[in-house]
Amino acid sequence: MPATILIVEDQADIRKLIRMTLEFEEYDLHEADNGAEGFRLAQALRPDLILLDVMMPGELDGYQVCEKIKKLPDLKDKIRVVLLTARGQQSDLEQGRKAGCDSYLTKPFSPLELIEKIEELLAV
Amino acid sequence: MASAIQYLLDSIKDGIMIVNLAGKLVFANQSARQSFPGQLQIIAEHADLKKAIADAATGKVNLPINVRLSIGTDALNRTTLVGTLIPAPNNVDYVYIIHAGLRSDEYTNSLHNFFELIRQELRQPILDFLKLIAPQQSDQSPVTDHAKEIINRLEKLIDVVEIFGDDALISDDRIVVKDLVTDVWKELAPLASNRRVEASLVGFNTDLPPIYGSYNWLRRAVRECLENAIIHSRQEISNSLKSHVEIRAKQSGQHLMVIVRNLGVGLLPKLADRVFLPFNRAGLPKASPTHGMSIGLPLAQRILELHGGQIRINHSNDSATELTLELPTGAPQRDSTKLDIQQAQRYAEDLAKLMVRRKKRTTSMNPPA
Repeated sequence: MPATILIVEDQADIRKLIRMTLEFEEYDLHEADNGAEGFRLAQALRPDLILLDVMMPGELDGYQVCEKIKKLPDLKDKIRVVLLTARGQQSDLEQGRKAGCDSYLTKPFSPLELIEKIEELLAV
Repeated sequence: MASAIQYLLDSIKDGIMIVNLAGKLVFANQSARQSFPGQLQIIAEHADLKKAIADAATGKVNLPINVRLSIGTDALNRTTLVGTLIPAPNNVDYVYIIHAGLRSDEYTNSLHNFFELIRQELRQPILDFLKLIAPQQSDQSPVTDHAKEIINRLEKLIDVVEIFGDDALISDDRIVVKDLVTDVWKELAPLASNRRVEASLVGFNTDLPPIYGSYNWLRRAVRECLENAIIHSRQEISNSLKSHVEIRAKQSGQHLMVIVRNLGVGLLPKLADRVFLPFNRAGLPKASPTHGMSIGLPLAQRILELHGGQIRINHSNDSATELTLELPTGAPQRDSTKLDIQQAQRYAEDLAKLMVRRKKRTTSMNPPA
């Protein structure tokens, strides 16, 4: 059974690019364009991994979605969270760790690096 | 020209010149006349403007087009006009709208220079003076207090110019509002203690969404609002009572509100909007104990506007004044073109390796017979 990956990213072009990268890797892909929808889908789909943009407009940013997921007893160990950050500053990484993320990627990210990171996290 | 049309054109701050095909000035509005007295015909006959008009008349270019004109004979009196050429309503003449190079720009530049002067010539010497006298003065001495107050006022003046200018700096710091408000209250603790004002924070729970923007500027805005609340809080007569400021946080959809409420000296409702006008003291006499420069709240409002938010002031019958700071939650919508291009480039760089990887997978899944 293919692993389920949820892509939570407000920029349509980046979502499309991620999808293009992963579509040959035999994952079941789903998308959300904001944090609130991403959290809702995370609860509904219970994906194996979430690619989560940090800076999104609206009620929930990526850190908050990550925190909320990692607080849910039935999801926190099931879902791996990879934060996508445009800045990669130390404070952002610290913030990500505090939110409980499993890994992060800095935009613009290498598609190969994305694939390898997903494989590494799903293998655990 | 009909007086109504002329009135309308005179009220436009851009310079407006109507020029005919022969390069003769037909009309100039007040802004153009004031900015270039005695020079308007020279501008109308400028070679670059005449060429642009000729090209438009012969169909070589489609209007509107931008036209830059350099006027003046030497470096000291040279000015560059930046404007747009459009057809005039009569379809015969042409209108040159001057956007930059006007006298109002000179005024803005002068104001910037003035505040830069304050920054360099006043603020720094005061800071140096503080350092010099520090060994002889305690931190709470009247001399140090007065010097710090002068610096605080100078910095406020400088911030007003920066924030109302075109280049106000806004960044995308992730800000937890509770931390911001708590930090600011700590800064104002000596003032609050001096005026026997205490504060309570209500509703600042961990579920509140963050806001994005410039931490420094938003800190400034919150500081101005809290300082205003402290200074205008009612001074109780009894020694056992303290004045109270309530700071409440509330989420409403995709907006976060911070409401600062205090019982105070009161504000006439009709004057409520004037508190956001810079250097307007909302009708208070100069001898009022709450005398100030009246730029704190306008500064705070401008900062919030630049962050997509706003400040409202409400005054209730029990003399309570509420300042509501409203800000959008989450990161702002941004122009992502540059990032998209960089990301697309990364994808293109890895494309060959991705194709090899896919080919290997396909081969391994479908091995040749």
